[in-house]
Amino acid sequence: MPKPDNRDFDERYTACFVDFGLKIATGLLIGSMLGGFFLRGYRRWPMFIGGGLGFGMAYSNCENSLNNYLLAMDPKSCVIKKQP
Amino acid sequence: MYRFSNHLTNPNLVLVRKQIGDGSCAALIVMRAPRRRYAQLDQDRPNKEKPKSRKLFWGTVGATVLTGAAVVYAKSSPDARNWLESNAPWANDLVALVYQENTTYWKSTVNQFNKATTSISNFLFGKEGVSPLDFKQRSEQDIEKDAAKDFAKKTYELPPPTFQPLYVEEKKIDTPEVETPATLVQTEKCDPQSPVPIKITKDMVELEQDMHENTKLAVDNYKKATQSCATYNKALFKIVESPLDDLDRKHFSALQSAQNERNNTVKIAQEAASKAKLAIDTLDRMIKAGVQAPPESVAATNRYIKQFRADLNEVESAYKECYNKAVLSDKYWNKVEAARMAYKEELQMLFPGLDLSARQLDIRGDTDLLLMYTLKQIQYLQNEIAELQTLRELKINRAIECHDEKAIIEAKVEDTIKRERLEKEKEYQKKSLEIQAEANKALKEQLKKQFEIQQEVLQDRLAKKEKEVLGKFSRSVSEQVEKERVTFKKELAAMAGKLKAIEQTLKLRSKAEAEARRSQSLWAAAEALHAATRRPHARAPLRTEIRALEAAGKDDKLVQTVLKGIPEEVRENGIMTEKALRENFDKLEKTAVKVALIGRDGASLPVYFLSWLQSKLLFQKFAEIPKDELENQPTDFSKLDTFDIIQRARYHMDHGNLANALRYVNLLQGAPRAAAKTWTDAARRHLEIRQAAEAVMAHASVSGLLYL
Repeated sequence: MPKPDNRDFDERYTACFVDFGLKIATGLLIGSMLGGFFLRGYRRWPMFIGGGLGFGMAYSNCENSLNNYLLAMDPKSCVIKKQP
Repeated sequence: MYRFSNHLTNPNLVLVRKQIGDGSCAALIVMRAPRRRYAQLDQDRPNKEKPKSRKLFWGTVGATVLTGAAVVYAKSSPDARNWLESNAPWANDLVALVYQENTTYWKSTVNQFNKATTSISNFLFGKEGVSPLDFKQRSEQDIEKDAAKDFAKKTYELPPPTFQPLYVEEKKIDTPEVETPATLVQTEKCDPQSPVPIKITKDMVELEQDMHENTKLAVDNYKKATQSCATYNKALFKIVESPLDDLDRKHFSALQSAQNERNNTVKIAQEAASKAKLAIDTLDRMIKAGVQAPPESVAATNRYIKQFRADLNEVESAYKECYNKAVLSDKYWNKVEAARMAYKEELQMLFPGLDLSARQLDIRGDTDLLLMYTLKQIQYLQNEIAELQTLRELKINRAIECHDEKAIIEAKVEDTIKRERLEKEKEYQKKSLEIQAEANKALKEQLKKQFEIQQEVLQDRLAKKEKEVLGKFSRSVSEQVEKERVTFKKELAAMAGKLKAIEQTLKLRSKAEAEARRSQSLWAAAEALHAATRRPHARAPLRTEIRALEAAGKDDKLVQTVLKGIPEEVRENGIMTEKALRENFDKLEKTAVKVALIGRDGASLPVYFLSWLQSKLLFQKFAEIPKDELENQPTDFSKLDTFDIIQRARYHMDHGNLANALRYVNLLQGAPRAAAKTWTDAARRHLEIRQAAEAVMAHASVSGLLYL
């Protein structure tokens, strides 16, 4: 079983940003490399594909981590007196 | 100089060898493939003039036609439609759409459009239609029902009784039943003896009467005299013949009385006889002389006279005989007496102090001598008897020779009688001795037995008596003991009461002192705990402080309760100090406003982005905190949004009021609440520990004051 994620919300939030940048950059890189490897001439669309992939992965990871943190909270509600 | 190109089949790279020293190193010549640019340009142009291909267009048209045909066919034949439905799920929808079965074209387009827009907006801006949290108003809560549930009737069971029975029956001591058989003493019945009737005589022919009387008297007295003589003889005979042991005064007295009586009666009798004779003679004379009397009476009188004379004579002769016998017996007795006296004298001579008339022979001397002497005497006496016997025989024989028949017969008879009697006496003596010896033995045995039986009976009776007496004694003893015990117990109880009172006061005093001391240590421990919360480190482990508190407050219920309320996590990890809490609050502030728009269940990422954007734009609210709220007036807290809450929390935090800050932070909803959770928990624990420490301190100071 993979290690459970015990990060704080704050940590996850900052990790999101870091994750985006990292994954996009890596995606771009890998995209362009693969494109250059298989295509003739300089084409930029593999790069965009890679970048897009990276973006997509980062996006889904970030969303899931943040939402999982929120969903893992105890469903104990707090009672507020409505009337003054 | 190389120019890189990625492609394998693009050998644009040409390496030119240049000779050194050529002088042409000013520029490197890069040569390309023999293909020239013009050629490529030329090649490029003709490609441009290719005719426009319409393949896509006609392909699309064909596909549309096919689809339309399929739709029409599906509509017309239900089988095909069903088949399509089971294999291509959207095909049915398409057919329905085309033929406007469920909705019109317009409606369906509008619907689709709406769906698309809503999904996009949800994606971008988050679900705004999520309802706020449902909470029940206090007025709607059913307190009665809850109370009824809690206080439902439970069966009450009495605890088991722990009382010992107060009254225990004492054992009763029974009086032992001693049976002593009553001894009845019965006296024999004695018949009262009737007195001898007395005869009285009378009258005239006074002589006659006199004669009668005297004759009678004489006869009687003579008879009496004879009787007494006979008794005298018998007594004498008895005395003589009976052994020495049986000799009693009784016999002698009997003898004496008999003799006296005889003498008296003889005297009276003789007198009476003489009188009677006189009277008889007179009467006879008178009768013979002729008296005036009736003939019957005369005859009677004559008869009487005769009879009387005869009687008198008879009586006199009898008396005489008896008297002779008495005389003879006396002689005999005297002889015997003399012999006895002689024997006694001899014995006295041999054994002085010997008392023969005593029952038991008490010999203070030589028994053998006595025996020898007695034997000799016996022998001598036997010789004498033999001699006398022979003499008697001789006499008898002589008498026989004298032809005195009667005397002979008498003598012979007497002799034989005497002999027989002697032998019989001997035998009798022997037998009697034997029997006596046996009887003595038997008597001794019986006596012994009786004695033993008596002893047993006595023992039994004694034992019973003893038991009875012991019972009485023990009873009285126990009574006394009880009395003493009761008084003793009373005294003891009084003393015990006093002791208890003293003990109680001492205990109270010592307790007070212990409490005072303990309260000091408690206060110190609580103070240490409180100080722990203000340490400069990030996290404060509280193990030692809690242990100290436990030790100080071992018996105190409040301390124990407080300690029980400290959760395990605090014991293990300690708490965050105030400094750390402040730092974390800064972080919290930023994070909370960053996710202000996110709801409880999370949202899509554009919403996160939007809220982040908002936080960057709305970083400071310029609205002030209203004064009413600060003064704790009733406020509706559900109208505050995240920024307001954070602002207020910040305010209170700045003023050091951690509790208020926590209260405000608790109002956060959704994602900010989740983001603030760690801080909230840490702050809560911190506050708990602080509150516990303060409580214990207060308690310690109060209890210290109590026992001053």
